[in-house]
Amino acid sequence: MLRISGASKSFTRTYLAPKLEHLTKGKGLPGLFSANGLQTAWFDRADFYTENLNRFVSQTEEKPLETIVFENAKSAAKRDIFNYASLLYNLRFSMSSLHGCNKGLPTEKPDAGAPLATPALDLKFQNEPLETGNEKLHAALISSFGSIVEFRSLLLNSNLAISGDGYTWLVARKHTTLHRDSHLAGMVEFDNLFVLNTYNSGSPFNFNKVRYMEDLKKQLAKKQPPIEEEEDEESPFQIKSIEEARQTESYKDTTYVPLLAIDASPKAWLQDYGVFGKQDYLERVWESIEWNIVEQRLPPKAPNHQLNI
Amino acid sequence: MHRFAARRSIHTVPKLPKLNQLSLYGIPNVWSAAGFQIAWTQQQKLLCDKLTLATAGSSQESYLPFHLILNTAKKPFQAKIFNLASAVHNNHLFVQNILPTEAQTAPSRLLQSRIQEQYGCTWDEFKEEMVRRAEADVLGQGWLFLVENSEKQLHILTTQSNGTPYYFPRNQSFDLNSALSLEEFAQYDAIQKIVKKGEKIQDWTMPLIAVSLWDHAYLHDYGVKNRSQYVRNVLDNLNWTVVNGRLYTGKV
Amino acid sequence: MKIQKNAVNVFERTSSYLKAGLLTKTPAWYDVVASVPPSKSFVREPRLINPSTKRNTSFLPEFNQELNKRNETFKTRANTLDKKVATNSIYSAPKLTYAEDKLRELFYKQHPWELSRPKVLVENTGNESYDWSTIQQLGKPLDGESVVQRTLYLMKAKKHESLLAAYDQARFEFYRLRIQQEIEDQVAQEEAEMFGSVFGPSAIEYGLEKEQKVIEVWKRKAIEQSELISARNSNPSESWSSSQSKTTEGPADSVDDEVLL
Repeated sequence: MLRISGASKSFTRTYLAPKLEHLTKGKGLPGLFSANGLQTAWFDRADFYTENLNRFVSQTEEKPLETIVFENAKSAAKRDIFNYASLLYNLRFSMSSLHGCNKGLPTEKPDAGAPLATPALDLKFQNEPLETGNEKLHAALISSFGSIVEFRSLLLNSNLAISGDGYTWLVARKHTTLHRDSHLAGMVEFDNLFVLNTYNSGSPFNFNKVRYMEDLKKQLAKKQPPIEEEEDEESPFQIKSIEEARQTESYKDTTYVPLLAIDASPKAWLQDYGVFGKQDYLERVWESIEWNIVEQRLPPKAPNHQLNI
Repeated sequence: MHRFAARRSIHTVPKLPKLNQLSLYGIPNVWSAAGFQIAWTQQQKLLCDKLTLATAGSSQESYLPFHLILNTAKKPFQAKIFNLASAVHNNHLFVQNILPTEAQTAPSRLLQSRIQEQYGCTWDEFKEEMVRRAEADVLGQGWLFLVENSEKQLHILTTQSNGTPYYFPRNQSFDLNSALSLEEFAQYDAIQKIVKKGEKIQDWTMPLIAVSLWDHAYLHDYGVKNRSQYVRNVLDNLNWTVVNGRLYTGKV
Repeated sequence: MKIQKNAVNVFERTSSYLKAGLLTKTPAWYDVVASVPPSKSFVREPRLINPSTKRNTSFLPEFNQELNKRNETFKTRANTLDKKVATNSIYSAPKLTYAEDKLRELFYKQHPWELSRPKVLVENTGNESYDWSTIQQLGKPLDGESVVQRTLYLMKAKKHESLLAAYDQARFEFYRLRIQQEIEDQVAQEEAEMFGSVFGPSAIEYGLEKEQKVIEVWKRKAIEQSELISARNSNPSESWSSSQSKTTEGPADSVDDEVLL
């Protein structure tokens, strides 16, 4: 992804737009995107985000996107860098596991009746993980969500509900193990799978934003002259407000390993599916998921956490 | 004999003047016919239908979108209705202020002098600032407004996704998905304190110019990379009769 | 019994009174009754067929059946026994039954919380006709009635043999839409918060606030009481029995341990 150009005496490094082997310019993704649709959904956006990233990033750094996202998540001054690095990471991640399906491209865009359509009651779908031979992933999904139908409906509905830009992720929660050995060996285990949404440039790696709001509050308090206000002293009986609890408790020791991302941006579906077609787009995304790649990202399951594997 | 013009609970796409012409030729210098079709005819239809589905059979079914915005803004569990109502309203506001006119229109002298007074620049310079703000503030979907607040001052307001200019706790001007600067956080914190107090919040901000930054408005005609060009085109081709009419002309 | 006609003749009587000058002012109801006159047919017509079930309620005997074979005469007047049968079934209003009612009852029995959703009772225009080939309708909320109507549509369209199978299909469609709606509500709220929306206190926070107030009062009282007790304990001149009687009356005894921890 990095290119070093020696044109001038000082080396300048610029990020190159990421490439994915299975996506070629001028060709669509069978059953999901037309050539034009893929151009908008992937090539143009990857270019655009990379251009912007290069505009803001300092030229001597050489870091993978994950590191940029991780390091700059809390810095307002480097917000633009974080934004474009994170967008680029999310986009690449979501496209990497989409490999198309055997269907033809949609011939007609859905019309105004589509949002009123009656939901289909299928309990079995094309391209389920078990069908493609991914038993390990299938077992993990079943133990976390109950059934594939429940998982699919949660995953696709979560994405459908995003009104602006964002991604829906399938993530594995890292198991906080007490065994020092496995820690030292660098082994990552998971205990449960979750579906979560991120919006705009939000990242599923939220672990470094714990107490972020609190820090800002402290900084702000330092800057402002202390206001004469009967400050309620910290008492052990004070119930935490929900906001506080969410900031301090919820992400405490939780980290996620992303396995799969689905793009909700109209940039992905407007071209091929039209204004009324987000649902259709999502159904085809399901059929286009390459479960092998998703399974490769799955860490081993923590033993003895749940017996019903 | 009196007849019901429309059923109580159904939101319909407002009829624009000279709709036939707009559907055939689009809006010159802003949208092609297909672009107009996506950004207005189809998108507005989708939003209206979804809003109808979301409100039918509830006590809110006979509200206008504007009233729905104010009614649902404080209720977190009705954020979906708020989103739809706000989108319907903003989109209508936006299309109204870019409807093509027969004769050339220009910003009124009052508006120009107000910008000059407050920012010390001409409309053309101010326009560039608006384009810059749209680019810097809104990463995904959103809106760009020129608003007039209760002190009759002009401000550029950007909102994320479906934020509304009418009620400041729901402006949605901050993107908490990335880091906040200290000034932004100070504003956000101040708003939180005001809301927490629980007093009635009066916000008399009125939008003068609305520009959609949603993909539906520019993706077809301008492509992924040229949103700023689209914003510039919109601001160059405003219907000033409408915009001037929205400006407060009484005594300050 | 003489048939009472006073009520139905009110229009004619009032007209003649007006003509004669007995009444000077025309009553408010006059025009209405003139355009919609009350029925003057007093004959109760026997209903032999129940309109809702399309079944016969009773059979009137054919003329030949009334032949008395012994004395070769026909029965021309009904005796008391005949009358009894006739009034029981022929003249009583037939019981109307609808399949919808049964479905409604079943649905709301299975989903009692659906009844807790607010419902607008004021009618729109009165004649609402929906095409139930889809379960969602513009202008009608998705609720139990949607399931009922959709079930009936599925039966009429012969998509299912049994009513329960049709009901199950409608019900599952309803579930999928409800799941979708609920996720939409949650995600919309989360999205709004991530874009810097500020909402007022939620119901939970309101409850917590109330709870906090009670705790604060309790805390003040508890501190007072425990101070009192420790003062007494350190003062040997105070009689032991009076402190005993004091602690038993309030919550101080149990509180005291916790506070002094």
